[in-house]
Amino acid sequence: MRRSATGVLLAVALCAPTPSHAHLVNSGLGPFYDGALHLMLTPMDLVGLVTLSLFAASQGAEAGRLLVIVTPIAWFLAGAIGVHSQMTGSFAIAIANAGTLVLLGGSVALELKTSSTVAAVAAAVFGGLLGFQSGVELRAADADADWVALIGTVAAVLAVTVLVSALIISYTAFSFRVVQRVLGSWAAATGLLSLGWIVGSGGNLAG
Amino acid sequence: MAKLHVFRLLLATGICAAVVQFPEAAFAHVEGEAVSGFFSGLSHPIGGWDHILAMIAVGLWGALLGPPALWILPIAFPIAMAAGGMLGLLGIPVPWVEIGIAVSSIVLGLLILTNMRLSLAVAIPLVMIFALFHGHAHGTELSPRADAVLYSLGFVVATGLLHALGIGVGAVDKLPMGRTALRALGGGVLLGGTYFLIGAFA
Repeated sequence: MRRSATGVLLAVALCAPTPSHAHLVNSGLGPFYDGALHLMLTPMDLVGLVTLSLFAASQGAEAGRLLVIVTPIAWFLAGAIGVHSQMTGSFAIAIANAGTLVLLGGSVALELKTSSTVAAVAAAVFGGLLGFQSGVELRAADADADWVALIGTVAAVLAVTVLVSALIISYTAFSFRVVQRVLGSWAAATGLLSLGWIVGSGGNLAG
Repeated sequence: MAKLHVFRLLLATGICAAVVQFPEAAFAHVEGEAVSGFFSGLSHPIGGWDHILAMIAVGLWGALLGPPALWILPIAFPIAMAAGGMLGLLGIPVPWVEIGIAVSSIVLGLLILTNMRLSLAVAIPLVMIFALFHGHAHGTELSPRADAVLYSLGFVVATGLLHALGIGVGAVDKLPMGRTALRALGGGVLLGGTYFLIGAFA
């Protein structure tokens, strides 16, 4: 009963509104924490990362361990390119990120199983994609965004991947697998709607 | 033990209902543009009784069918609904959307009322076709000004909560006279669907 109540409280907390920030959020604790908060307050990045973690961790403990190593590295390398690029946003990247949700969320919903090598490659590719987008956003939010902010974001990425993969791998109850599949279907559905939105608006979005 | 299980499900149902109702209370007078962000997305599916009825009915029918339909139908529905929404957002027409939405309530109500146990191979495509109509109707109403991801997420979560509400209410099936009550609810869904069908032709 207590666990159910915790789950409900967690769900309600996750549903809580998050303010959008045109500028890099100022935590008051310096650029490292500003960067870490940036991930938590950017829905596409966070939802994409959680979906990627769900996908990789549901492939087993080995894939989960690879996810925790590969994703932050890919995020950092691609994020560094994004921070130093002159891009301010890309239609193609927005499409690719929404497509990521469809692909990975759909795989989780269908409970598709793959090898840990494929999961690691997915973590590198999709982690890199999300990282690049995050880097571009960091620069767009704050022209002076530096390495420290990016490292803060990567630390938050590491925390999210560790927490999600630990949760998925340690809870093996059938009901929890159902919850995973439902979350996967929600991610895929969010990706599909976002795809329609991005293509329909020609990339001219508010968010 | 069974009573405790039903109690938990009913408690979860109450919480789902409260969460679904929350955004309207919070933004009733604040948000002029209506379509922006997570809570706008969350409130969109509960904006019309034709949608609410069908989505709860999917949960009710799932509860009646039992596992694995109980969780597979709520997994399949959002994906097909989002596909319909995508078509609507892209301006790709789907014929007889309003009729399809009304028919979805009629068919689901009839299936619950008659306690018809279709196989998964039939139930999943049937629910997905209905979801496509509902999604398309929503998709054509969405504004490109909103935050796409947050809005979509809110929209999908609200749909899931409505299914959960149906599943929770469907837990009465385990109580004495519960099956009769559940079938009566199916009758109510059928009547509601008929009303919406008349409205679609009017």
